[in-house]
Amino acid sequence: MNAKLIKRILVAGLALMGILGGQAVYAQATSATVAVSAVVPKACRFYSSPAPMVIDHGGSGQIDPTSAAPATGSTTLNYRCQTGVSPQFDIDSSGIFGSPKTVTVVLTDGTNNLSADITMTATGGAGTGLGGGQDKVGTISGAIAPANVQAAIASTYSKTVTIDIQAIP
Amino acid sequence: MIRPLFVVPAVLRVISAPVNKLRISLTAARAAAAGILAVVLQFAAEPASAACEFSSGSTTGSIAFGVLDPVTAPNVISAIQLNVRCAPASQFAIAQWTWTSANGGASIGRMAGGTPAYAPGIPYSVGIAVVNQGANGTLTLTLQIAGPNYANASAGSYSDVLTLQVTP
Repeated sequence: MNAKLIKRILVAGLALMGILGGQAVYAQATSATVAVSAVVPKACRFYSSPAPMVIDHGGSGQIDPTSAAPATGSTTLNYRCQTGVSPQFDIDSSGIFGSPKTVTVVLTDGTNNLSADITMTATGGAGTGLGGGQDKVGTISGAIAPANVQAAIASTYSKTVTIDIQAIP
Repeated sequence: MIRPLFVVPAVLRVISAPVNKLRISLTAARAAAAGILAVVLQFAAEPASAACEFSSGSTTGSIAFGVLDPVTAPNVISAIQLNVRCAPASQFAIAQWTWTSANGGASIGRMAGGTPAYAPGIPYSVGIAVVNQGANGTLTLTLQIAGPNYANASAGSYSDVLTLQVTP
């Protein structure tokens, strides 16, 4: 092959390398995709403290030992759950949640005892969110059976119960 | 005699480089007097439509916020870094790094999901910051969910696909 021709081609090639080397251009990857994810768990919480519940007859503040009807009482507290999620409750850490949940507890005056059934009910139903303004009303009710009322010794009985809330799985 | 065209090693090296597009025009003619083949090689690298790009291995990514706490509902932030490069390096100054959310559009990111489906979804903000220049740039993608945006969300899994775009 003609030596001059080879030389020209080599010179042209080297010049080309210089041109392209001065400003590299890339194969295009002008976009990227990023997967975004999050998980919102089921959750329920109380958002108020209930007023004390008085168990009595007819709102008198007292139990009538002559009555054949149970003594009753109720109070409320607010809860919130995720949208569409219903709550369940436990009372005094019985270890078993339910909705409604009823547990028999013992009221005392320090010496004498008086049994009562305490029930927690999700009156407001399923939640609509845990943000502000999403309160649902829960009802705590108490009842003392007539037999216990009639056998009770005159005194003032009391007990503090603990109620736990969680979302129904 | 017309001899076959050939490609010199230098040309092969150029073609193997990561060029955007290379247009090659070959012209062959016989020099009548000398009887020698004259070869003219014309090379023109077409102007790249984008001077910046996502580096190999950085064209996909994921941001998982994990399990949110809708009870206390704090603001949550998560970020990833993607490798980017520009040529020349000065292109960083004029490159436009934009994004589009599959569920939220171009102005707000939004994850969809929940059971039952949570109509508003979970909106999130998008921040993009690019540092360094040349072939070693770093794009930091920062996403933030404001607490009130998921406090009332239905329980369940949420997801979105965020597409990042660079121009030019």
